[in-house]
Amino acid sequence: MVHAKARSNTRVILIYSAVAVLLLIMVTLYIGRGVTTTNAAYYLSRRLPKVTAMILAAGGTGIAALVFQTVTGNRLLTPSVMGIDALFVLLQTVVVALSGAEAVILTNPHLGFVVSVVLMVVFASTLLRVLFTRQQDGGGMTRVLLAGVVMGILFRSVSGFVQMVIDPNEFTVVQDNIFASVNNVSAPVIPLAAPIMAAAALIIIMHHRVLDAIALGRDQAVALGVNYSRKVGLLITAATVLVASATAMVGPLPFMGLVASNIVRHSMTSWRHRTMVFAVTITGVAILMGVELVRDFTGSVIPLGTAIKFMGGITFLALLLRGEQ
Amino acid sequence: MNPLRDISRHLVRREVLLVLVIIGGVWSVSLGARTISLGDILTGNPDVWRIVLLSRIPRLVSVLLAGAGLAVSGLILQSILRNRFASPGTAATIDGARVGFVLAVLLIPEAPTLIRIIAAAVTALAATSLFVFLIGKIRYRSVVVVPLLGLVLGNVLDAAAEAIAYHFDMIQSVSSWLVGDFSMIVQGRYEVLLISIPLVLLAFRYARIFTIAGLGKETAGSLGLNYGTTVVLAVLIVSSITAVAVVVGGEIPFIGLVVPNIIAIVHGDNLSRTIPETALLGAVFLLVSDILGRIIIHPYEIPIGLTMGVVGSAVFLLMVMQGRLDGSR
Repeated sequence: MVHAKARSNTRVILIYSAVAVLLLIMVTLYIGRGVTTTNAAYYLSRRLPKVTAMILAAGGTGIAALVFQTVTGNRLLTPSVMGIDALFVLLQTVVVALSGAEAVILTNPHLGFVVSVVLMVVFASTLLRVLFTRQQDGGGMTRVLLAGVVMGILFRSVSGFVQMVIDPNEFTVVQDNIFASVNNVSAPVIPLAAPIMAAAALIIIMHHRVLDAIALGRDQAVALGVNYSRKVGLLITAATVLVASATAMVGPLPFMGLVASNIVRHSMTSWRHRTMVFAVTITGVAILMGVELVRDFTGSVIPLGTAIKFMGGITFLALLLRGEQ
Repeated sequence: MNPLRDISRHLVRREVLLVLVIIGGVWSVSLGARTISLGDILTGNPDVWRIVLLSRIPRLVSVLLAGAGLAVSGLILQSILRNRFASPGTAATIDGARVGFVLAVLLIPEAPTLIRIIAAAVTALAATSLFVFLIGKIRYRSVVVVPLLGLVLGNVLDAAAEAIAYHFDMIQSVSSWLVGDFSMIVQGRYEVLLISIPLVLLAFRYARIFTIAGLGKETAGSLGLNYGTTVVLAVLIVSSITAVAVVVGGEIPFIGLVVPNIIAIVHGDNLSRTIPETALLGAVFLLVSDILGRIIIHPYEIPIGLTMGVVGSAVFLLMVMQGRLDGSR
């Protein structure tokens, strides 16, 4: 028994080392393609921010999904299933419709980022607080999920209406913002987003033991001395900050976190958060990087967000069919 | 006894609903840039008659047919999937129809409406069949699995439609065509919706076997029902009704989800008895939303996709939060 476990642990370490090496190769390929001594300065100034944004966005989304799943005790519940992507699209559309394409909030990247993140965090934490306070009975999670799905449909119908009435020139601004892409990441946002996201991720990493306890369920966690509602509130807020920053930076990446976290949970022999947080970061970044590389090499015009949505959806369908629950 | 339930029990009856359809119908005809009273119509003013025949009646008929058709589709899906969260919007039917519609419009721009409907119906059928097939394969047993699978499959299909629209640089146009909206309906643009009448009648005709299918595969089989054929028939009817509604009126959320649940709370699950009420309530529900959208910012309009989105999500959340809806049946 011990022997078998030790062997499978080695296997897990091997797999993730391989993924990490693969990731390094992909990053090198992405940054280094076509670089010569003459153009290096320009190429690097364009590509390094993109890679940084990808690492931040994919890692943040993955960690956030992991935390959501642990806190809700459900592997299917992630921020994007809860409708946070649809909310982002709605916010972007409404801002452009109300203030016009030249508004300071859109032309000043810092302001736009801060406003998006604050609004998303406020909305998501309010919704979650309302829903989690009613969570005591068994049907609680079903309701949370349904409420999220319904909110998503509602946000989409409001966005659809606003997009119908706004000026086509302004719509192109909306379109650039609501389709995830690393090409229009504005470099000045990164120095602002990176410390915020790093702080949120650090809070989560420092609570890895608390997360392990919460994974056992509310009663067990309380019995183990966890101040349950306070810690859950803190962790959910940190996760929301992560996913909101990632979305505000590159755009919505539906299913990204869901797929990364489910792959990690499937491949791990133990669900200790200390290792899972790192594994989900590597996996998430590898997925995003892989898709972006394929787009780059094939010269595809399909937006990154659409490609992620399509492939993430299919992967998730496969996971559902295999009965991972 | 819950007073709300008492009221709804009396309200949700054939006779009452029929009266509501008539009252709402007259109101709907009178509403518009030019207000038309019943007297105007009766005196036979030719100007008034032209407006009524060209635009008001077509709109009224479209709203009633789309509402009734989508509500009945939701009811059939809920019965055969044995899940109260099934509906054209949550079982990938609408998302499927969207793909076919976008393909037809962008690849053959001059194609007549009928071609668009056929394209939408084919993809809606494929998507719904895939959905039903996958539901049977998934081992994870929870009522949430239907809306969840619908969400995921819907997103995959949406990504496909999005990629096509993006390729043609038509994201905004496609997005506005697909918002449920009846304001552009005039004579000559809605007649294909009449196809849904025989389809709904077909559903009435087979209501009994859909009820039996709702008892589950084993029970239905032992009662002598050919389960497979019944499911195929159900999926065919639902996909065709949804495709017609999407092509003519755009995407209308929630109606197929909320209406059958209200009916089930009041009248139970015997489709032979509840299909007429479902169709009528669907028609009334959509008509009221349509009228609301037309009077709130009169003389401008709020498209029905938005009013239904707001009204429908409010009703649905209320039902979920009150615990009226636990999904199983």
